[in-house]
Amino acid sequence: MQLPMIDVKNLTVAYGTKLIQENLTFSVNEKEIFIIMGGSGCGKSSLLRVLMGLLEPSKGQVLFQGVDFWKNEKAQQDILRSIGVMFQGGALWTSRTLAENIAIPLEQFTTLNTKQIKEIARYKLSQVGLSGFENYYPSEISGGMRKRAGIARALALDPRFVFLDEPSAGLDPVSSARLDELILQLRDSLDMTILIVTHELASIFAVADNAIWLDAKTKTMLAQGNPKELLAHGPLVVQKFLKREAD
Amino acid sequence: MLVLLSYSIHGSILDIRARGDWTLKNISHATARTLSRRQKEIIKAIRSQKLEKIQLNYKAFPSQKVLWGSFLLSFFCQLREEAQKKSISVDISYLPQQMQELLAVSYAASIDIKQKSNKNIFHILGLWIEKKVQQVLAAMDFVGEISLAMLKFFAGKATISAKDVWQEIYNAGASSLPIISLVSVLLGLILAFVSAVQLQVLGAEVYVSSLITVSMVRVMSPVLTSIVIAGRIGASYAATIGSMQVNEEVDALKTFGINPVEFLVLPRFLALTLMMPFLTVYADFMGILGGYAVIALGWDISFYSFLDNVQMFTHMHHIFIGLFHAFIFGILIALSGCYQGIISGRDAEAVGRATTLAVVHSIIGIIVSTSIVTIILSGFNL
Repeated sequence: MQLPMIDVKNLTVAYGTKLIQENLTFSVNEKEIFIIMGGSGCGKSSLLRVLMGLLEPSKGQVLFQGVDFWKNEKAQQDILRSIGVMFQGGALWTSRTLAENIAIPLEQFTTLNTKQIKEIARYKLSQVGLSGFENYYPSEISGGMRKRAGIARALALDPRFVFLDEPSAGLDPVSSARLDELILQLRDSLDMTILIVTHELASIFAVADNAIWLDAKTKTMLAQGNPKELLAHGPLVVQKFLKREAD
Repeated sequence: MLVLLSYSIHGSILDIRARGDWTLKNISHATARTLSRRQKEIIKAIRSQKLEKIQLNYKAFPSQKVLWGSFLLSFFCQLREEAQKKSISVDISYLPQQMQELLAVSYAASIDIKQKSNKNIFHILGLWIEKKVQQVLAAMDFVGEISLAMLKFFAGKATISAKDVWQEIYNAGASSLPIISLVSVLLGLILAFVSAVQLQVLGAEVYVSSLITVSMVRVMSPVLTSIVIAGRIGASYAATIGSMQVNEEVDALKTFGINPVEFLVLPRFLALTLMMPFLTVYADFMGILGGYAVIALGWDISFYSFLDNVQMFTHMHHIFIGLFHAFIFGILIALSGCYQGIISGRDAEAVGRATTLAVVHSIIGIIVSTSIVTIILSGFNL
């Protein structure tokens, strides 16, 4: 049987003594679009920080294709290079142009020459619909464009895993739908495994293969499955969330 | 693993074939160089030959996985752009299906190209002058706004919180005392030591006390204190207000109809202008104390003799000149720090730049204004 791409086992996320989430166990399979859902402040982004190697878990394991990330320091760099991350606000380096933002990881981790790197940066920007914006600085473009540029940067090294933190937040419905299409396209064309933190219902139903629901009250995972199935048969709180109903 | 890029021309058709593992991980330095040469040859062929069609082809070697990535795709996109310039059609039907889909995405995206226009030297010079003029006008506007805010304050109509003023007084005043103490004592020590060694040669070491006192009180203390305060307080004003710009806190004030200059700048301006003379008097005292420590330890001069000399040579006008300097420096540091914060951009780099400029402009202002005041006072024999 094929190993899951990401395997989370009995994970506890905490900041010092402040517990965020505990007993999290789930798997993400190859070429899957996996959504982490939950209400505000439930710890979605904190879980993502653990998965992307920015926050050490208090307990449990995170395995990337069978390799324990937090127990295997030697493999950490290789794993990190196979992950592309788009942060909530894009987190672009403001002193660099969009093309330079994409070029930096390519300069660091490939042997390509400047011209070849420039061409890849141009191509990556064209992939996210930002052709011609290579020489623009992040401060010169809109929030939605910054997000798309953030995705282009996340894709710079052709990663196997892509983590997206609230990709649709703050975008208009049309831009949001375009972004969903792009995510599906990336998965289908580049065989990427994509993990998304979001609470945009339209995006969840448009792209998700699988999802988990994190609960802020019980501080653990309440449900796992396809969002459409969760809408029909999931716990009441998850159904309410997916139906956009008040308590 | 092997990577190949070849091409051949059959009549008006350019056939480009890529083979092997084109993933970024697999491209070595030597391979990148070889491929770069071949890419240039192909582009040269497109530009120089009379072509009607370019045929793109990718295949893995037998028994290998199909492996390609952004490197190959970016090259194909580049070829398409070259082909477009000469109205040559590009056939991608021989490429793997996934590759075709990705190329289609970037094809669609590149239709609406929006490039920054190229500018010549005169255009750049003109823009620079325009920018500088706007900066001067903005600075004058800011000084005008703070003047109006001061008038409103004295008329009791300014939107200002007493709590904020006290907090800023504490930040600029009491919390600066440790660093002012350290720097002033050390400056007094240095001045005393250097001057005592020199005056001893002339047998005039008794005048060390007057030399330290007059130099500290008149100019050294205000200048040194203000440089420390520019780094400590001026920089923090720029960083704080700049960060508020980034978080849209300044915009939030404006939407409530609150004037940011009155609310954010005025408390800081009042606090620093008020505290600078006090800090200078404190620095005078600490500097003289440091100087006396050297005299007491190294030379046979009594405390009374030291005090006697201080009284004899230090006049009231020296003290007032020092306080006047401090007052002017306080205004300059507060204006510079707050102004840079208010005009700061909305990103991390802009806040850093604002902070640096606040300190640099403050120090330049301190040096220039010291020179001006000294020249003017020398005209009055003071």
